[in-house]
Amino acid sequence: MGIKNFLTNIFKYEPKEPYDFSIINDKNEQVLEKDSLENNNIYNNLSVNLDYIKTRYNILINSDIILREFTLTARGKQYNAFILFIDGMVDSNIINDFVLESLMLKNKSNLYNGNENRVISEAITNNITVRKVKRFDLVDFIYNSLIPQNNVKIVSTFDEIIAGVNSGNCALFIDTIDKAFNIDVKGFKQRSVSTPNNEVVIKGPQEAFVESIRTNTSLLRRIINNENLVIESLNIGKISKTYCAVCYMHNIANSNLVAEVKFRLNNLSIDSLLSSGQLLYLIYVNSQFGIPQILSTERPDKCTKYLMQGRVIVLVNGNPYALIMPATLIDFMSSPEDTNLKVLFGNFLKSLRFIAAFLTLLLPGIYIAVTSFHQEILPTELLFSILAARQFVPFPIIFELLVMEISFELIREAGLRVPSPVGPTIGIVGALILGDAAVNANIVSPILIIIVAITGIASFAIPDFSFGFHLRVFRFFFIILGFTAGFLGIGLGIFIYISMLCNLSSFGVPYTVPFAPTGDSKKNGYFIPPIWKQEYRASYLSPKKEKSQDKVSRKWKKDI
Amino acid sequence: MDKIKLSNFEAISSILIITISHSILTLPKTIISSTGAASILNIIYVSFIAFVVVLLISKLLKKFPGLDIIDISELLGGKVLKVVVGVMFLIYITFISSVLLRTFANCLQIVYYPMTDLIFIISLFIIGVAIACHFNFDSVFRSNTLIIPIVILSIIFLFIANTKHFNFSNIFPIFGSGIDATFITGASNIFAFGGIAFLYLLPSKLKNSNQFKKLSIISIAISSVYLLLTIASILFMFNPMSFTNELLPLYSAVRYIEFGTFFQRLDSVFLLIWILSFCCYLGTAINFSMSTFKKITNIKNSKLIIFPFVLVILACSLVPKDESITIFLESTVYKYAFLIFIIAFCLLLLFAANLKRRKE
Amino acid sequence: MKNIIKYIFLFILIVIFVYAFSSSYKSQTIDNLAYVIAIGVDNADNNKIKVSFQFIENSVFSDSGSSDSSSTIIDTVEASSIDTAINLLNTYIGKEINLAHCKVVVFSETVATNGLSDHVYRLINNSQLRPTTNIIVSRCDAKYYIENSTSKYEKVITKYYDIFPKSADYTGYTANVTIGDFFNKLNNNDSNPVAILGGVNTKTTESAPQEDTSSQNEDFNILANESSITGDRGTENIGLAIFKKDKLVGELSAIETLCHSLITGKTNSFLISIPNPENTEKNIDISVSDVKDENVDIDISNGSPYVFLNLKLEARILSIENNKNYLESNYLNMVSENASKYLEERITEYLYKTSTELNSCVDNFYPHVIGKFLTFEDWKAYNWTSNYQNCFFDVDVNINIVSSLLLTENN
Repeated sequence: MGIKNFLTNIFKYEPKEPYDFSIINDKNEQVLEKDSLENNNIYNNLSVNLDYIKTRYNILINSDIILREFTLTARGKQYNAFILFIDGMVDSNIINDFVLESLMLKNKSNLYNGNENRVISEAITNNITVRKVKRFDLVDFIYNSLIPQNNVKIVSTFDEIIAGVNSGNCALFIDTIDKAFNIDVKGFKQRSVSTPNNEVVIKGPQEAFVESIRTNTSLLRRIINNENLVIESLNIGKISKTYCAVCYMHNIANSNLVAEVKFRLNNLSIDSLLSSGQLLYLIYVNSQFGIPQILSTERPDKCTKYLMQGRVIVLVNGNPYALIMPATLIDFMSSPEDTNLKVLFGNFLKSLRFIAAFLTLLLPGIYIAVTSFHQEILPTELLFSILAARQFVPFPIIFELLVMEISFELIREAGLRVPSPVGPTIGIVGALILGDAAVNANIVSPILIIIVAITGIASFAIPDFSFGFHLRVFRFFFIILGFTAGFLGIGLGIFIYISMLCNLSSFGVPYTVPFAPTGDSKKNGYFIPPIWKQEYRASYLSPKKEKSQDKVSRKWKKDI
Repeated sequence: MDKIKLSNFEAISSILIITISHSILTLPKTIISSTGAASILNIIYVSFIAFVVVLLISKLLKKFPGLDIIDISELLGGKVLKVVVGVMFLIYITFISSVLLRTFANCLQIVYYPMTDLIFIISLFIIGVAIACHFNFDSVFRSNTLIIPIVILSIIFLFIANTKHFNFSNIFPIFGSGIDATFITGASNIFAFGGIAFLYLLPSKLKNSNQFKKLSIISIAISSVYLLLTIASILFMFNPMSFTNELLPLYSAVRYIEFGTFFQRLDSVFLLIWILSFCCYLGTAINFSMSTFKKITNIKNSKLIIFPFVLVILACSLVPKDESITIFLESTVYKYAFLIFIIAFCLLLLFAANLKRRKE
Repeated sequence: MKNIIKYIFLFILIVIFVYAFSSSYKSQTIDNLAYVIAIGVDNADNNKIKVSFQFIENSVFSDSGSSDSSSTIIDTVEASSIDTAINLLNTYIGKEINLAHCKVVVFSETVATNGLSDHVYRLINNSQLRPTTNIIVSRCDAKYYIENSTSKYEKVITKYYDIFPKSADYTGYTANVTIGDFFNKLNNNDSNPVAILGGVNTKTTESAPQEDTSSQNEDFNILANESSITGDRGTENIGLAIFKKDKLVGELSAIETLCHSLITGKTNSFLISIPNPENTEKNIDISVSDVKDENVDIDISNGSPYVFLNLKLEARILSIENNKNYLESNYLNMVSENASKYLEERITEYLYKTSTELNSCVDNFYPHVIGKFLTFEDWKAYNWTSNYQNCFFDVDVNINIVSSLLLTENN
């Protein structure tokens, strides 16, 4: 029996059921557009206002919107009221000391019960007293006496008040009045936001996420500036209970996609979550071959760009990297720089990166395949230079190549780990000792140094670090394949690699869209059109709002 | 496995891949040696016939939306006929795949791996394709759509790069080996459109099966243009009257390409592209036969039989003793198998099913 | 457990494949191959041939390579065929010989007269040799030819081999003939192959007896090894070798080659000297820059072909004389008439040479007539090759002299 079990264990083959999730494009799902809310004016009934605000801000799921209900005392009377603000964008001390305290706590000013009507002027003629009386006005009273704040505006529409809240103000609603107070309480108490270190762009914003999740959400809020941005919070990890935030645009992101992300995040049975890098691997469908399927970035502007396309962002407390999902192949090849440059230059850079990816993956493999099997493809003079360079080298090409590739990786790794003052030394040692001396000692041929160097440089031109890493690891497979069977091996390798890419899907989005399966990507392919031509959001994300701008976005041009 | 359906482009490319991978091998030679200088005329004529056949097929299949020939044969003759037709398709696909694989591996051996045993070259293909087939059903079809444009571009490049070697008068005498050879016996060259075989199996896999007619016509149109380019570039380069039999006619044509003194000898790049397209072809064939097998046996997970199936192909491709047999199999047996089975038998089956449907 | 087995299986698989392909790898890797850049074939006794292989010294490409000494190595083997010669030489140099970078194949005249088909078929059958390799028939020994082909302009002889056939585009004195063309023509019943005619200049190599062959007063009526060039390199490639099927039957001089190139459309610009219409002592050089139109029309009357050849060229005058206005249409017409007549005579002479003397149609005329037949049978029944010697030629050349170059008038 034991033998039988043993044999079945070894030989029984049970294919795994593939985890299948695809985004369903639900056309019936109606987006509650702002325009469809007919009344924009603030009601005089507090509970109506409250409901309105709750719907508008998705208070039930949004984690950083704070709505505080309380009882306000004015002239000895009590009114129900609430304040609304976004955590992370306001200075809570100001709110506590100068808004809540003065309104809530009973003190001299709010207990003062003067005349109902204030007499402004009085004139007596013929025993008839003519009094110019101003009726008591609660709004005026609160504005004038109860909010010791320098910048307060009284507004009467929801749009105005919401714009204020989005920019970091505090809104005060009071029962019985159809006005709201827009109180300036902007302020940040966290450590200052620094420039991004690892994703540098030339033309573009220079701020990066920090460790505090609240600061990060406020960074997003400040750029997006819209109440449809939902930031939900959840805790991951049985012990650590790490605070995470799921951010998406309520009116753009496909609700299937959002539900799937939340489903995966909520069903993680782990003790602790320490970084977004760990989370990345916990929510992959299959992490085989290390192809990254989730984009991670430290740039808020990149995040907002993807948010506006209808993707979901996950922030992890204590980690300055945000995860963007779903991500496709072209996302790993594009840099936030692309949209900031002119179209021609952006696309030129993109094609350059494509060549870089090709070189990183295949150049060493092709070199070994060509020198081992297909020398006829080399131009004659080049062939003889390679031969001449190799004539004193004792090792076979494969050995030479592997030695150089591995030492290159060593230099890279050592340069990363070394304390920064010694950093340049590594470069010198690497370049001089390994490059020049190895050639002089006839251990490697100079041509090979060029190959390895080009591969190394090309791998650093890939904007996404993890994708570049993946390519660098995979080139070793291609080296072995090229060594084994020349172009036959390389061809098979490419075929398997392409099939593998086509097999992947990141949160229901095929990894290789829009190339395969070909679909109308609505100008969201690898090469981007000018910004005024990007009328649609990528259709593979099935966003709720397909159009991102009007047919003619440059209206000024039409009007002439 | 069948949950994911094919989009139009994937379906078109899966039909195209058969013609493409066949044309790399001896197909152009077979056509040119049978019709001589009239090959281009013949191809145009044969494309016309192929159009008619495809229109007929789509008309006959119209009554059975979303059903492929296996389902239809079940409707017509119950389980027995279903199994018979399914097995015949399996044999047909295995046969052509192994023959084509054998020929291609032979050529690779001659050109690049003179010291390596054939079995290793073939099994390298087999292993690669088996791995690729273990991914999702549609991943092979998706990679088809990525690779086929490259292959078609390479043929266009070949045509343009070799233009200076062309001798356009090679199409004369206009009727080549005679009117009979061009139009009567030449009609059998319809086997160049091997993708018709997969058309029968396609409807049940389509995302929108009502577009079957459109995409089958598009795929036949593209393959006829492709064939025309291939045949033309070979016909114009090598004189058809003294057409020496070359193992890989397209490869021989590629060897003439040169741009200046630096870009010479590009043949291995072309071989790389052809290896890719050949892998695609094998992957497509295995996927089609897998779904056929699944239909006739009701097996739960068809990934289980990938390895047995590729091993069968490997074994079959090792059977022929020498090249004369492979070439005979590839050019003659394949031709008649295609004519009898795909054109005659399957069309009759569809006719019968239509009659039955009408009676009901 | 399962995973371990899987990885062991994978490892074994990789080892098997590396091992299986390693034999091909060993024989094909760049270190183990010797690259031939030129092959020469000579006749030897006992039905054997003497094959010479030219290799490049590696030191040419390293810094210490000396440029004054000959940088090539020539090994010669006597064997019954080229393949056996390669095999023999493999044992001698210890590396496998690879023909993938062979640039030229040189046959000596005697080998060519005996027939080249065997050699050419063997070379074409070899997957290493490119069909774009040039084929040369040398008027001297092939080995002697290869030995003398050194280049002072380039450090590497392969560069010279690459570019010399391109000179045919602007001189027309030879043609870029590749072994692939040769093979295709050879296989075609209706056309005959040509090859580049090469030779070693008798004036450069003093050891050779210096006989004055330049009895003609024209610069272009020369064959390879007869030119008046003196230089460092001994070899020169002028003219073409004409084959009938695989056997050498004749040679074309420079001007005849030019006619051939014109008819077959291989050259687009060239220079010729025509008799001066006003002063018979002197020649006028004109440079033809553009072939406007070449039209071949073939009729078959009474079984024999009748070839109409119509050429339209555009040219400019190079030689400037005193008291001439090169914008005057009368003069230009006169020159153009003269030039046309001269070229007409030359071409007609050349064509009759190929048809009656050599009986070998190398000008690719058959495509112009094959369209008149409907099937292969009809065409075969006509038998073009044997009818070619009964051919009539009607040549009409029309040179349009545009003007001179920079100077338009000289009084």
